Amino acid sequence: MKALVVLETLKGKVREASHEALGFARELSDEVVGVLVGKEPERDVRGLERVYVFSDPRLDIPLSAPVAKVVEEVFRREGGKYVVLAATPFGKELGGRLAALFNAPILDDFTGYEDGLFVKGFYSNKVFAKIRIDGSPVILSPRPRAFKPSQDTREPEYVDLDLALDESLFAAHPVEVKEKSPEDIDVTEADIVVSGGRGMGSAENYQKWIPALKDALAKATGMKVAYGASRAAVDAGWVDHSHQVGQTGKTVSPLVYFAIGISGAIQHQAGMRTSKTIIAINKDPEAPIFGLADYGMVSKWEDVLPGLIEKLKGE
Amino acid sequence: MKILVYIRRTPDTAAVIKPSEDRKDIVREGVSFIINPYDEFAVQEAVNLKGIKGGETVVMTVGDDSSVEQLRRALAMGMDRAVLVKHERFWELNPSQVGYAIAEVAKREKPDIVLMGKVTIDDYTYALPGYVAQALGYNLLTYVTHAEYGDSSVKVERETDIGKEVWEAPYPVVISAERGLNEPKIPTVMGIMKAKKKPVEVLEMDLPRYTYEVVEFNPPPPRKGVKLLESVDDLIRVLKEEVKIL
Repeated sequence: MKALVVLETLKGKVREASHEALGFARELSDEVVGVLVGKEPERDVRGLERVYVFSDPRLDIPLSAPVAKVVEEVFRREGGKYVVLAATPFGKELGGRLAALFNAPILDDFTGYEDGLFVKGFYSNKVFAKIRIDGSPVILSPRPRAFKPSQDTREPEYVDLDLALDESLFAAHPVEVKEKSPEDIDVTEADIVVSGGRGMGSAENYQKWIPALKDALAKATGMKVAYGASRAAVDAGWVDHSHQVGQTGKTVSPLVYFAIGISGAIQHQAGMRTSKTIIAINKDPEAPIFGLADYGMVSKWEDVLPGLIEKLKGE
Repeated sequence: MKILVYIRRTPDTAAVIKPSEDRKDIVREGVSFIINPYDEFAVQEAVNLKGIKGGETVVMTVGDDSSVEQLRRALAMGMDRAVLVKHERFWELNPSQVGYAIAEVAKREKPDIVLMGKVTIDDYTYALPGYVAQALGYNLLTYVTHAEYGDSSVKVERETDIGKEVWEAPYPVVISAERGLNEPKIPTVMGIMKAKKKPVEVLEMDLPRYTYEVVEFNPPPPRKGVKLLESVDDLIRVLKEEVKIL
């Protein structure tokens, strides 16, 4: 059974999440065909039979309306049982479009696949669903970091697509993009997340110590480290809501999650309970966060963070 | 300006969610329900926009009889009228079926703007805005944190994994709301009184059929319990020897 994989690019390079989607597609299918779209995308993907390439200077930032049109054309030529794309913000938007375009059922943001069933956290990971979904095609959009990138080394055949896309497909368009600095890693993409909450006491404390610990960990481990926050810290204006972890924020599953001055309301737990290791620092021994944590320190954060940062600098 | 807002009845974010005995559903007794928080931003945005530009605001949902409670709340927040596309056990629908129903209502209402949340917090799908835009041939602006509505086009700020972006699109347009778009207001007593008299239309609709079902719900895997650490040195040792990130 054939799978079409949409290879999302940023600055010409296929994104890591798309390599993971490809890895997942290879688990599902013995024939995998790629759709590579962007402004002069690099042709260095492996692990597919064929890759259709569509290059357009207007697609430096991916736009879902024209890309949907390109996928439609490839599907017309190739058919396929599965249409697979990474559940990045762009992929989530495009996935919905493809579901409408192909009159197909969709499963987005799932994290597992076993015995023909898909696994996805519902109610912000308060429960996990095993899902049966089928159709021709089915739109499948795995969550970034849930699957391993493809290890398959076969060299695909590249097929250039010559499509005249109607100008109307570009009607919704970016006029200004302020890219995040490479150090400003999204909480969903990080190996380690350092989160602060109400217990930090003030904006000054949060803004001084959370980034300091983040930087110290990044230097000491060489890993991708992001800073997060509870809703209380976001509502207090200490940090932008894009850093919020929880049911109305982001759901994260890093290798290590530091919860500092976070009591662990059920909404926050929903956003971080699938982290591999949870380390909580809170002065209240009754804080619900200790029910979830693997390691805990019943201390004021002031008594831990300065020393911890100093020690990390020595590592 | 005519605005259509899609909302969904979801469990309160503070609700404890457990699998039902047969694992096919969750325990719904004792759970309080709300408007999906991101959809609430969409409702407030429509009400604010009508306050500036005038026009008509319609709120819709795909839901059971209980979902009228959420429609009434949206009406109390200031929406003009409501449409319920009736479906028992609506929470079992695939996003494509819900998207289809929204698009069908939109085809009849012909709004300039369709607003909804970026995600529904129960089945955690982000697919609806894209589905509806594609089905209608409308422009699409997702993850919107700020919007300025012109006469023929809308200019928005949005947040993605790339960064902060400013986009523009002519009407008609589908907009998905991100936290930050506005501050939803609690309905006033006057609003609640007025809402009782506002019309709620009930529609029956045949939805496309797909193979899609939750075979079983499971609780999250249990965590192994907390090991208390006494000192920073302890913590450093754990990071080295047990967590192995140093």
